[in-house]
Amino acid sequence: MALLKTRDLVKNFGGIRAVNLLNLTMEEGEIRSLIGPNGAGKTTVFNLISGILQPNSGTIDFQGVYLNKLRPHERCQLGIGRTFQTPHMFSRMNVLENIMLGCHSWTGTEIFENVWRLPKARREEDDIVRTSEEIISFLELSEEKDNIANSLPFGKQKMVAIGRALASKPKLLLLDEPCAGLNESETEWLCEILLKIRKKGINVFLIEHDMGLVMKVSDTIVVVDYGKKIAEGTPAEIVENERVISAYLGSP
Amino acid sequence: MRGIKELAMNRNTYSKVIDFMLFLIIFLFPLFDSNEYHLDVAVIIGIYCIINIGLNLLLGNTGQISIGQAAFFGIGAYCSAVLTTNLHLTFWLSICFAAILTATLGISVGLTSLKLRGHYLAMATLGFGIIASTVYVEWTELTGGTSGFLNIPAPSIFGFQLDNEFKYYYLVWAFVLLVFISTQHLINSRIGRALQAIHEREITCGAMGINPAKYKLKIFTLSAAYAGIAGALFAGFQNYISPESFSVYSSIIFLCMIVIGGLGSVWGSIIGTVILSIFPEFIRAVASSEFISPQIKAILNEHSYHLIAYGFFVLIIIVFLPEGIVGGVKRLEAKAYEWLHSKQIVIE
Repeated sequence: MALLKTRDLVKNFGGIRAVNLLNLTMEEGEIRSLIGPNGAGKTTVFNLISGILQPNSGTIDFQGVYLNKLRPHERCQLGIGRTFQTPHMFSRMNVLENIMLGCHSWTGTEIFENVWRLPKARREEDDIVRTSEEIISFLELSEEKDNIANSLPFGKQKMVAIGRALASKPKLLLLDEPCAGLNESETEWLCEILLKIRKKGINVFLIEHDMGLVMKVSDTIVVVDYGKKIAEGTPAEIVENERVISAYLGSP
Repeated sequence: MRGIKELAMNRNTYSKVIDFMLFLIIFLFPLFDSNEYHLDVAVIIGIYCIINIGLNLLLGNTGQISIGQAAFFGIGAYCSAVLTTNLHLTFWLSICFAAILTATLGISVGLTSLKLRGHYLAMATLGFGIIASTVYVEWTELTGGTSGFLNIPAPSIFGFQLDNEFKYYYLVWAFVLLVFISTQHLINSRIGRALQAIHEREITCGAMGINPAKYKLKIFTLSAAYAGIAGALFAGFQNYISPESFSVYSSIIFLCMIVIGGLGSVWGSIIGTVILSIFPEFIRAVASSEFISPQIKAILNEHSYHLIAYGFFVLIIIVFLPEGIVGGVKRLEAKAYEWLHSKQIVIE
């Protein structure tokens, strides 16, 4: 069964068709990149998958579950984690708390249990802290743990955002331009992290403009232009594809 | 690095010690000051604290405003008054019913109005407040209208008569302590973090598995229930209640109290309530003291100038301490902490 499958996905913004009959099928165990020129509708695809936007037509399936009717938090609970182009840090929380927030999707104690700190709530809080600490050491953020997330440099904030998405224990991780604003060494390091994430059995779907990273980590690449898929294949195939070259550089 | 962590640990226990000390002061207060009038004011402050802790959870933590809190307060009060006076139920049961009734109303008001944001939510809850205060006046068979609901029996709990301010003080402040602890727990739990997230970025919450609509409704309901409990305690204490206590004006005063105390802080709710409740009494005391000449006194009493002083005081605090009194104290504390820390590094 495919992990993620979209069929004839359409999204219009007024007169502009941002996503035009997009068919995507993503299998388990891969890192897939979504690339395309600016304004091609990449982020819109992510917003449709994560439920922030509703498609005008078409369907989205995740592990056989029909997603269209589900709201963003329900999709997250099913195992779709995501980051945004900007880090979206919660400014009054420190790094640890930001990552702990990601654990919300798989914990379930309610107001009643938490008000009286019943054993169940305490156990869950311990679980949350343990998971978050693991993620913090995985992303090498231990030194920044107690700092207010907003005060960190941009690159670190993006790491915290990835950590927050990982904390929701996703099966599919949507990363929207994880490299934007990172310097070279940070990008290289992110590369390693992405490969490690895949090793953990988490599927990664990323939007990225940094072709170096895309070519290095992707198993397959999807290219979109004007909301339409114009090519799909391994990095080697994409580099050769004429439609891709003309979309990026213009045809002679 | 280790030093900082240890200090941070100490800071956590130290804030618990402060909580304990402040509540110790609150619980010892009646033993040192048995002035009936003072205790009377202190009981009302306790009742307002219960409302304001709920309201602060809603506004300060979740970022949703309500200008209808006095309406829930009133509904709780009338519910308890009717149940204990007309139906002769016990006070204890009437508190439970008041909480259930206000929570139910909270759900229905929340379901309809929480889809609105900011000013629109404020207006919707304001509308609810106005409807409720009209009902108190017009439904004369049940509420007694403008002349008020009279002869509410003095409450007793498990056969123990709560017939004076002294005993009632402990009942009310025990409730405040309960609400304080539970709210403190809630704020520091997964739900508290979710509320904070909803306050800051509602759209990002979905990507975190948080359902903003659900939590907004739950907290709105919880704060309504707190106000209902406070209302029942108020009715039991007052022996008579009238619509004036539950007007929109009171709702606005409640908001002032938490803004001045400090949004998002439980102590902020309590401190704001205490200060804004004592301040008018203080001005009244100054205005009637012997240092002021009789002519000025006459003017002060005639034109209720204390309201101007009150407004001025509120303005000063908002201008100079935009995060409220607790926010200001915290900033000071952080500075002191930094300073101490820098000294320590010098010593090392």
